[in-house]
Amino acid sequence: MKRMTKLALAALCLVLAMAFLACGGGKPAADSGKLKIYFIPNNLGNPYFDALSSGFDQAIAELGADKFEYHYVGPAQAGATDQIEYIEAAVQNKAFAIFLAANSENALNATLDDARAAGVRLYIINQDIPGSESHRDAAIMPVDFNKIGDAQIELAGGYIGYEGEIAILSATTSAPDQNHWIDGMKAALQDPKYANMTLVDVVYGDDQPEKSTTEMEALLNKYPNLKAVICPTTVGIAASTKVVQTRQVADKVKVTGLGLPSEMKQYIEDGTSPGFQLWDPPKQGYMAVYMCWEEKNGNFEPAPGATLNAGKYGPMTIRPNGQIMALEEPKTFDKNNLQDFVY
Amino acid sequence: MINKNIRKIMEKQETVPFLLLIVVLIISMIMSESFRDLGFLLRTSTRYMELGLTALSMTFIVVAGMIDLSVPSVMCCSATIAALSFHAGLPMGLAAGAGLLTGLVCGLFNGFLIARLKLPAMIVTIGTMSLFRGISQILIGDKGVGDLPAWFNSVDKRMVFQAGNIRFSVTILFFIIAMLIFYLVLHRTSFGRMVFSIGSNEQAAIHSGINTQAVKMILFVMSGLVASVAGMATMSRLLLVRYDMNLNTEIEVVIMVLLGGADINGGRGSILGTFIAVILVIILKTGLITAHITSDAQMAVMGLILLVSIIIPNISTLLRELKDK
Repeated sequence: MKRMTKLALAALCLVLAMAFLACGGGKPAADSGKLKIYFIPNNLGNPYFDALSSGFDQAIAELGADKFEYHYVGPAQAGATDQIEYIEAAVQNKAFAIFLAANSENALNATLDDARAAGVRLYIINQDIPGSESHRDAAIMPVDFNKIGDAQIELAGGYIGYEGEIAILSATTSAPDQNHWIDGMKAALQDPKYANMTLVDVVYGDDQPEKSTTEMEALLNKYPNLKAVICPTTVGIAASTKVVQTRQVADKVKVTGLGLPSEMKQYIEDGTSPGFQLWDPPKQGYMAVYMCWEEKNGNFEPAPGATLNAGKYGPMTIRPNGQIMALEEPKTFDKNNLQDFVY
Repeated sequence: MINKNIRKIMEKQETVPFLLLIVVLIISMIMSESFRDLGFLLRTSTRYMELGLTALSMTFIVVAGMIDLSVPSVMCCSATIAALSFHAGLPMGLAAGAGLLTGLVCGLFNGFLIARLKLPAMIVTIGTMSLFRGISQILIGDKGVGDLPAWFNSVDKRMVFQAGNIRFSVTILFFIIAMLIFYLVLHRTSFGRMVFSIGSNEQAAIHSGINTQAVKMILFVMSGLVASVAGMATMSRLLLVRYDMNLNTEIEVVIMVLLGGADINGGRGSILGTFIAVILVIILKTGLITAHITSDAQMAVMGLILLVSIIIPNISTLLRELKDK
C-alpha cells in the first residue's frame, strides 16, 4: 500500500510537470496591444504613493483608457529587496515600462539589469538611485533636490522676519536625502540675507512619531528663544506640530518643513503651522505615462538631452545625469491653497 | 477498508502540503496566463532556494521541539563578515570561508545558550536575531557592500543545463542535493532518530542514554552553518550585502517548516514535507504576484493556507474531541 501511494504520487508529479511543459514551455503572454505600465511604490497602503498613482490615472484618462493597461502593485513592507519579485513578475507579464520607487540604492541592481535585458524600460520614480544610475534608463525626480535647502530657509525666514534662533528636526542621522538638504540649508544660511538667523541645533527623530515628539519637546525646553523649527521629513513635521499644538506655543515657535497636505491640514487650519513645502506627486505619474506614450509613438527616447512632450505640462528635458525634474523648486502649501490637495 | 486507507494517507504529513500544492498550482495557472511558463518559475524559484535551504535545517530544530529565529540574521551577519574580509584584502575564497566560520560561531553561541545553559530557544534566538543583525548594522551601517569578484557573483544565473527558456540553475540543483542529504540524515540515521526522540519526550530521551546537549549543540551549529551558506548565495545573487538583507523572513522559514507537516511542539516533521512546502510557497507567491493580487490579500491567503494545513491532518482528532464534548 505504501509503495502504491508513493508510486501514485510520483506519477502525479510527472503528469503535472508534463502539463506544465505542454501549456507553458515559454509561450509568451498574449499581446493585447495595450501599453502595459507598472508602478511599483516603496510599499502599498501609503497615501503619498496613492497620490502619485492618481497622476498615472489622470494621464491615461486623457490619452484614452483603452490604450493602456496600468498596474499599481508592490510589497506590503518597504524592505530593501521586497520589490524584486514584483519587478520579475512585471517583466514576465511583458511590461512596456516599470516605474519603480526603489527601496534601495543598490540592492536591486541585478534585478534591474535582468529587466532591462528582457527589453523592459526601467525608470526610477520619486527619487534616484545614486551610485547605481547605470542600472536604470532614467529617473523622474519630484523636484530639484539641490534647491530644497534654499527654499526651506527662505520659507522659515519669511515666517520669523529673518531673525532669531532656528533648529532642524530631521529623520535618521544617515538619511541621505535629508542630510543633503540640511547641508543645503547650512550653505543657504551663509547668505547675508539670513545673517540674523542662527542655527542652534540639528536633532534626529528617526522618522518615528514618538522619538520625534521627544526630540521636539527637548528642543523647546533647551532653547527658550527658539523662533522656528524646520522638519524636512513628513513624520517629523507632523509630530513637531502636534507638540506645538499641545503646548499652545504656535505664536512663539513656527514649525515648517516638508509635509503631507493631508496630514498637515488640521494644523494649518488651526494656525499651529504657518505653512510648509512639498512637491507634486501626481505630476510625476502623469509624466511617466507620457514618457511611455511618446516613446511608443517614436517621439521620445530616454537619453540625456532628450525632450519629452508631457501633455499639459509641455516640453521637459532629461538632464545630463539622466534625471527629469517634475518641479524646479518645491511648492509651498498654506491656508490659501491647502484645500486643493488630497494627498 | 478504503476509508481507513484514506485516513492513513491524510494523516501522513506530506499529503496535505502536496494536495495544497496541486490546488494552488492549478488555480495560479488559471488566474494568470504568464504564470504558465516553467522557465519563469525556475528562474524566480532560485530566489527562494536560499530560504528553502534554511527551512531544511530548521525542520531538524522544530522536530527536536525548538525554534531558531536568528537564521536570517545569521545569513546577513556572515555575508557582512565575508564582504568586509574581502575588502580587507583576503582572497574571496578565504573571505567566504570567514563568512561560513561566522555562521558556525553564531550557531555555537545559540547552542551554548540553549543546550548548555538550558535557556528557552525561542527567547534566545529572538535575542540573537537582533544581536547578529545589529553587529552587521554596526559594521556597515546603511550602506551596501558590494564590488565582489565576478566568479563569486550571480550564482543563481549559473546554469546546470539550458533548453530554450528552461534554465536549471546551480542553486536549484544544490537545494535538491541538500534536500536528499538532510532527508537521509533525519529519516535514515540514528542521529535523526535521536532528534525525533528529543522532540517527542526529552526526559525519556535522556533516560535512554541520548546526549541531548550534544545533539542540540550540533543542531544549532548546523543551523548557523547552513544559514551562512544561504547568506553567501544571497550575497552572490544581490551582488552585495546590506544590514537589512532578508529582514523579517524568519517567519517565512518557520511557515515553510510548519506547512510541511512539522509539529511546533516537536517529535513530528518531514524533510520531504518541508521540500514540498517550499515549492508551495514559491508557487503561491509568484502565482499571486503575477496575477496582480495585492500584498495584503497575499498575506491573508498565506495565513489561510497555513491554517488549512494544520487543521486537515488533525481533522479526525478534532472531530472526536468535539463529539466527546
